[in-house]
Amino acid sequence: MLAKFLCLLLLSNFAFGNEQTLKVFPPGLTVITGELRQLLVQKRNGRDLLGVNKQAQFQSLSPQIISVNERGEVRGANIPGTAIIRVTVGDLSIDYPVTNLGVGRYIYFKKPTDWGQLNFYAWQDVGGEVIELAGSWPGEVAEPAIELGGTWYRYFVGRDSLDSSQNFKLIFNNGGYGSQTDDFSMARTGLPYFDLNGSYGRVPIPGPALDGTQIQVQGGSINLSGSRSNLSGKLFLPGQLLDLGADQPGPGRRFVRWEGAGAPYLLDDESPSSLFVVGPGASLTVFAIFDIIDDPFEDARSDFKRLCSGCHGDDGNGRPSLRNLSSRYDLDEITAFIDGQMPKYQASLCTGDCASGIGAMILAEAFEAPEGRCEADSLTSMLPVERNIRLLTRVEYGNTIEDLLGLDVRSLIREKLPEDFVVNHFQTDSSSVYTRQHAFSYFKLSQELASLAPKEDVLAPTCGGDSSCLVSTFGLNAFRRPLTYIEKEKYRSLYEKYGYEAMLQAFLSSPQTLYRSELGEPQATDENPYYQLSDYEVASLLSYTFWKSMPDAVALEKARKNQLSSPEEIADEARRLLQSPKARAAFRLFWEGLFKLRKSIGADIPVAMKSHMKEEMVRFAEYIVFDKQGRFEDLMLSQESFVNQDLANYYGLPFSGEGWQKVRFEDGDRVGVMGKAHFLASNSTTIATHPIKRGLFVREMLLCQDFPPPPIGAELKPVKNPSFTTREKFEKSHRQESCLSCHQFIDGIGFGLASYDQFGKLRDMERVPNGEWKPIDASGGIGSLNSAETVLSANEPVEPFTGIRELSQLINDSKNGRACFARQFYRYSVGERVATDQSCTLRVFGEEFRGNRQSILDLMVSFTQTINYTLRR
Amino acid sequence: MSVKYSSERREFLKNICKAGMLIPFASQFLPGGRVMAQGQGVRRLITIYYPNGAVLNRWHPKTIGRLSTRSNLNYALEPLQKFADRMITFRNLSTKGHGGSSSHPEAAGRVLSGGGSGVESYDVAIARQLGASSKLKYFHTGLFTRYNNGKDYLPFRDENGQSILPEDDPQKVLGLLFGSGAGGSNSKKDLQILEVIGDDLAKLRRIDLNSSVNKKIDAHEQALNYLEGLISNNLSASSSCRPLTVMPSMSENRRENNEKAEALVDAQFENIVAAFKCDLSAVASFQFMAAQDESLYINFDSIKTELDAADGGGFGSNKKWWNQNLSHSSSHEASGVFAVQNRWYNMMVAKLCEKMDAVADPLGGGSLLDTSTILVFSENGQSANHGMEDVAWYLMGGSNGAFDMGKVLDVRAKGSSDFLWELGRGMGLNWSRFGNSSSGIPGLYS
Repeated sequence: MLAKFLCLLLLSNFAFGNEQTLKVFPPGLTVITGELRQLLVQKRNGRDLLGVNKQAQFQSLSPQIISVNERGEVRGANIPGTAIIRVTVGDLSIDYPVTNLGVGRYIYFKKPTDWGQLNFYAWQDVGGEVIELAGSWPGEVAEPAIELGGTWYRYFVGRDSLDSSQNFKLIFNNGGYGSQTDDFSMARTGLPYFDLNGSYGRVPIPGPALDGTQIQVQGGSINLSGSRSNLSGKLFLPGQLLDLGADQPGPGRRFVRWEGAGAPYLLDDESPSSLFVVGPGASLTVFAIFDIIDDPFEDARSDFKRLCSGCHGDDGNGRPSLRNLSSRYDLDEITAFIDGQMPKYQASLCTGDCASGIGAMILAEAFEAPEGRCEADSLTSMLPVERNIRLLTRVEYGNTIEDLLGLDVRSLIREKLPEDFVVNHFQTDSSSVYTRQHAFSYFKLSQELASLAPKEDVLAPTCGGDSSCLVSTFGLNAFRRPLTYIEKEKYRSLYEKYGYEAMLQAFLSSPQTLYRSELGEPQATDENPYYQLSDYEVASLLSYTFWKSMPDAVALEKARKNQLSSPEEIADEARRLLQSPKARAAFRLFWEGLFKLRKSIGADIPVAMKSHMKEEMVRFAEYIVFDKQGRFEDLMLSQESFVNQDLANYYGLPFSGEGWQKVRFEDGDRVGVMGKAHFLASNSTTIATHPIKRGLFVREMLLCQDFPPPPIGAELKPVKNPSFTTREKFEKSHRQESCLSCHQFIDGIGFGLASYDQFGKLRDMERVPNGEWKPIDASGGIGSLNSAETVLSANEPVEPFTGIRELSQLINDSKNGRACFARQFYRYSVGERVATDQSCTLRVFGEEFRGNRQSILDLMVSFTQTINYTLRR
Repeated sequence: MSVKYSSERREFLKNICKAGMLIPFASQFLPGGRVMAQGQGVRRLITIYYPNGAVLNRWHPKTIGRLSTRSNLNYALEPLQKFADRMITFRNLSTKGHGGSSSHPEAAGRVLSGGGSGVESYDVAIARQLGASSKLKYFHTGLFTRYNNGKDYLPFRDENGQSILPEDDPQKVLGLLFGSGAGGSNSKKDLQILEVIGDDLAKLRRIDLNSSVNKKIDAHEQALNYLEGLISNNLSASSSCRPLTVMPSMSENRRENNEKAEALVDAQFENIVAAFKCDLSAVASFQFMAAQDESLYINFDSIKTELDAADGGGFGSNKKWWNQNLSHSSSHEASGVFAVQNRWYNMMVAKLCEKMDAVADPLGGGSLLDTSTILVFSENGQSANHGMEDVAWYLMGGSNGAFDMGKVLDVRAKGSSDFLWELGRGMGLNWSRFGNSSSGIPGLYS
């Protein structure tokens, strides 16, 4: 069964043999004198297609007709005719004909989209005689101008066919079918670009076409000269030449190569910037593959500098030199030597791991740290995020009001305030903007809240009716910082003139209350040109991260005493907040996003049961994180869960008593978040399981790997066959090469979970549409588990699995599972899609967690410990 | 040039002039916006979005040409039959190169912005002129837009290119329009509070702020200015033209909201009509859900028969259909049911038309429907493959005579930006282009 699956996923070569052939693209190339075109050489090995331009040697057998350089660029020479370009790659060779039309120029026209074809008609009046230059009316058919794209067409006018001493006239038409331009005049030295209005007046900027091949880039962008935007997803003409560029890898990462169905069309798939010769087909996708810049010799180098560099030099070129030792010694020999004799007369200082580490470093000649590595103590690597003011979310405002006024008005707030935007599935969007609806709603709501608020002697009992004291006391809490003198006076004046409620209303709808300030103060030193958050801002940052509410009196007091400055002070405060029940409640928002609990369940399950399923997910996660102080593996593999009576019945678990109780699934496959009914049911359709939804959830939410959109023209309708199982339908539907670029990473995951139906219940048979019952095939596979974070790579092995436990175990053991969890927490906290310049920050704060040496709670504390945590740029 | 050819060409030009085919060329030579006859010109615009495209062979009319109330519209458009003489439905309109994409969010964010990313959408651009003198330049309403998958999945963009999340709750829209609660009895006090708040906002401004923070502060300031206008003008005085119906409100329970979805849409349309009637705004928008959304079940009583027919009697049984899955689910064939959903959107639009037709334009010239234009669009064409060609867009309303309504117009692969540009010009706007437009389209004008 697995073989069948892998056969489908990888489009096995078995059936195609291993015959090797060369192919040159584009076929049937024609140029004019001086025109430059790029050849693309591909090697087909069975079913595999590889771009091999870099290995190819090019030779023109008729250089007087067509010349070619070592990069495969051909240029029309002065003599028209057809030349053979001989292309050699290793033992393989192919002769490729290129035709040169000779000296002349192309005339270009921007074809209206509603013209079917474009004909070019031209004539010259030579001494009273009309000479037609492109045949009789309606002229000859023009060709798409691949160098310009868009709707540009071109027609070649040879020098020999006209009197080059004078202008000629031309008309563009739609093949004589009713539309045409006026008579245009082409000056001898004028620009050869026209549209319906006549001369285009400038050289057009190249762009995508309206028909052709869609090019999709993941982890990079397509640019054309003159265009600033990323043209990924657009259509291009086969043969069109694109500039492909990988995204900046970010600190601590490096570009490795390009992969995907489009990779064979790159001139250099190992370069982050490569030319892309658009190939044929509906859609070609390329993935930029990145990897971490590892420094396996970091500790050894440190030991070397401490113990050895005095004699041998930092670079190993001292006396004696340690360069080129690998040709003379192996690791055992050099380790034994260091262990027994180095440092001279002090050999006991470096034995065991120290000796073998330094030995390995010397043999690898890794005297210098690799360039671009992530350095936890460098603000170049650990770039601070931008300064911001973050509008409180509805949850944050509700909690803040509860803490400020002692009122539980959260339902009122949900009812009155506009919805929050969602980013990365989390309702913590840090780019939210205050709209007219906000203005109206906040003003109205604050009026209502002010009227519901406790009296001033309750709110500020120590003030004894002193308005200045009231303003200062309440203002400190509302603004989460002390008020300035002017602010105090304004609010006091409002109080004096219009009373207590007016003052409250202003506080509760003030921008100083509604925004979390992360603006900081400038440091303006060479080492640190960034903005340092004040202790009050840090208090808010921590409090809204872990409590989704304002800082309490303890935090504000710490801020007043400047006790939220050092990493230790911040870690202490983070731990204090995380130990509070408020943290447990606040993290509901995190679980709602991470497990997509806002998503509705389509299957016909009672509404109350759907709600129980959501609650189970939240209670399970809370238990793992806060009660068990568990690790990622607990979230993935624990057989524990929480059920009430209804849910226990649903699962078929024994249950006694009331409310929610901790249970253990004896079914050893029903583990972790994926073993819960909510995950299985919400990633299904109303009537069947949906392997793609399940697979996508795992990729996007548990492994942080995203996909480009479906290719243009992909037929997304299902294969109609009433005898097919769900799996068989998808296998058939996605057997198109353009689909497999992505679905090779998705479908196998969902297939392996087929033992659970759309209700989340275990099954061993599936009823297909014709009424027949068929056995479940739950053999699955998952690849790209250990690629660099967020990167999908087809070069990673596909690991087979069956069922939830095996899949969960694979994710738990992978590099990407824990890394993704840390990334999701980061996304949730910062409220934005993480830019690549934050890659080192993610790596540093998640390092211990990724190594499975840290609990989830400890990860959250680590989040506050990076050197850039309190800095902004 | 040979004489023979010249005469052929003259004949040819004569013929195409007769067929109206030179209009796209001619229209480019107009000085700017179209010159309307006295009193002509669209007075108000409503832009309605529906998600995920359509089942095109059950949407588009079978023939090109005039439409009347007796014309047989195709299944999805049939609910609009009564208004067919005030409708233009398009054939061969394309979003390719004009923001269309195989990606739902990319297309949703671009097609109404003329193909650009992060730029204002058409309705907001129109509002600069059409709504300039209104108290509210524009406003956005919707149904189930709050259940979106992220801001990228929303089609409307403000002046800064930021996503607009329309207000789903008709009661809140009512408040926004008529200022219930804001203003109130003591506007002096409210203005004083507003001044304090304004000072607090000003305190956030610093000279060294980055542009995103500055934009937030600018938006906040604009919103407070609007609020000040509400309070100063005491808009609640406009209560005489408030909708008389009791407004339903959104609850936290999605299922409950689903069950009253039609009432919610109805109430939002009441709000739009009231805003027009009271001259509070001339530009309104309505959004059904967001792109690639599954949130709204369409098992409404009003389409029970249709669903039963499409799904072999499935309505009312255990099946609960929803949207995105229906458009191109690989797990089951459901295009029949999806076509019902398409029809349902148009049933709702028909309701809006009825409401507008029942209210006389206070400025004269017939009903509000007669003097307004409604643009209905989606980010996709053929839903099953995220198509970009022959998209299912249409115009409704008499347009105050600006457009030649009552026809199926074949725009022959013209781009959606070209159409939007032409539409804007038809409304008298002096645009040299809109987004990726390159030329106008023929056949829109009277």
